Amino acid sequence: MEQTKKSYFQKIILIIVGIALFLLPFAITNPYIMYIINLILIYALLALGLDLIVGYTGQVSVGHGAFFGIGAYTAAIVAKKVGLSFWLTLPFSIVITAAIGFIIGFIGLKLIEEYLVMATLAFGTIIWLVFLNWTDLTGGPMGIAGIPAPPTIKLGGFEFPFLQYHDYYPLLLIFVYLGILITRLLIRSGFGRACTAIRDDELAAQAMGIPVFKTKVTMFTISATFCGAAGALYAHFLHVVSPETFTFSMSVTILTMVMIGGQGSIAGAIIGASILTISSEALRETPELRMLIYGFLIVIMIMFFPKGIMGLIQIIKRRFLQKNILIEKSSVEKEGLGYE
Amino acid sequence: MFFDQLINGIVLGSIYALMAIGYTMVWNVLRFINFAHGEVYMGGAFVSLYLLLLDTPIWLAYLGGVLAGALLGYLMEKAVYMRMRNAPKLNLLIAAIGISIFLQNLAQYIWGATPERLTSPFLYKNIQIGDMMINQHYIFIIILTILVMMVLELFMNRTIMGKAVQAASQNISATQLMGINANKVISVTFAIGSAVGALAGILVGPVFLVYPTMGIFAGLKGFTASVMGGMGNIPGAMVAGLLLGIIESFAAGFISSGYRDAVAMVILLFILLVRPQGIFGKIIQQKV
Repeated sequence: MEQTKKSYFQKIILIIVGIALFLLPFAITNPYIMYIINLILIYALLALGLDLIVGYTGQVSVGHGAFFGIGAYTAAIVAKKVGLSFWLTLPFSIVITAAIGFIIGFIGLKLIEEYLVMATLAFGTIIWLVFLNWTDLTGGPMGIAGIPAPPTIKLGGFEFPFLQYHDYYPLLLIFVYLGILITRLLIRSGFGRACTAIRDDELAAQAMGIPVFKTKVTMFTISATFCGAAGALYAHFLHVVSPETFTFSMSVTILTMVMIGGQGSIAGAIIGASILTISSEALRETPELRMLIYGFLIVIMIMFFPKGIMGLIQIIKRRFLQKNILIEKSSVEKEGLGYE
Repeated sequence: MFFDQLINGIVLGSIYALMAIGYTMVWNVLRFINFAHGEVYMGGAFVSLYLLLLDTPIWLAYLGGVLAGALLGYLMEKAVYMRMRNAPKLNLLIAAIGISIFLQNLAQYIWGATPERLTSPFLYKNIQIGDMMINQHYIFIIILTILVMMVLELFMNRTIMGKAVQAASQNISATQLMGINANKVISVTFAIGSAVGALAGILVGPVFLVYPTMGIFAGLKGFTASVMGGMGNIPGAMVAGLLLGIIESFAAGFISSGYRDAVAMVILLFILLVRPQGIFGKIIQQKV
């Protein structure tokens, strides 16, 4: 897709901005704004994870909210019942979501692509019912409270305790950078290209000798682990997990982020996460109106701007720079009505 | 106890079978799973409820709900899916998810989230068979389901339009070459599938109440039934729907009611894992 080579100049600017972002807490004094920025980072990680499977591999999942929940609950349970710290609960969350992600991918990716949607929807429902009903382990509707903050980091002579929202920000930012790095490495690798080939034409990819099923399941598993890691971060950041966070709406919200920002684009995932987190905070008082707007936006975006905001930026850029005079056709006109 | 669960299962199963028909019919002509089908079920029930509040006679309110469901399905197709015929399947699917969320929350915005009961002329009357009491509304559901299936069978096999739908199910491009208006066939398919789905929602209304998210589980279970029956296989969907209802009813009765909805989900995952082409289905071949 937009595999344009960035110049050295652009790369240096990106790196400077990336480092400068660590200084953001010094500029913001309001803890509430810091809290929202932290939430954006967690959602960015979720959106990056979902984009791996939706944007790069072309398989829709509406169960990533459940993977997020499994990550969060695993961290919470391990931290509370075993008493491990964040650095040990995180691997737990990752391993467990990877295992469950593998199973769900294995089940859902078998026959036709629509089956994954239904399998993930069914899975999300089961997981939610388990959170709600398995009171001994998950605390039922009350959830689990009092999840400890990550231990103080000692670096040289300095100490970094986790006391307020400002302290979490660098940690979360590092994880988002890690997510971006992994995504980039993945999609630039042979494996990532195989995924894109499957997205563009599954049969052709198969004919080229790509093990379609295996590739899809692998990518789905990786995508689930992103959400697992985000879940562990969420649990230790908010100190509380409860079932109403990890409903079907959560999965839809993550999907909307990817669709609004632009599927198959790292910047798109982050833009989508930012827009939706801010708007959902703004619409906090009227949640049903929020979901109403999300649903409408998904339909409009997919009908008219299937590549989201990043796609729009691309079009504007192209028009503006007059690099490509050829108008890109959104879809090759097929013979007949193109039903198949 | 055993017979009570069996009757409950058959009633549930009838509803799932009705839902499954919608999925399967649309799948047949467009090779697409209408994710928003559950919202038609909810929409039909809500329109009936609303009409009843306006002191409409019950039969007219029911009919109005069914027609509203058909209209909703028709509009869904005309407004969104028809404009996306050349788009990748993925986009169509995401659009359907969007429609589903939109309609759910629209209903919640208009009517609120409190569950309400639809009235039924039969709800508080029982029939005694032997030493067992059966709710008359249950009998009404079962009879109506059988009737709908018979009408549908007649429509598919005896009318020109039904035959056109069947032809489109086999090969829609070839259907067009034969001079059949494919868009009209697709519209009719959506309208009929949705009408049947809305009827399911209305029939359930007096028993399980009407609320904005009622379509999620019903949709998933209807879909489960259509997968069990073999995607695209209408009689298969009917049988599988009944089977699913009975299994669910027994499992909920004997295991745990908290996990009631999880039973069908587990069955779905199991079927997708073991026999994704369904119990009565053939191996689906991808078309190039």
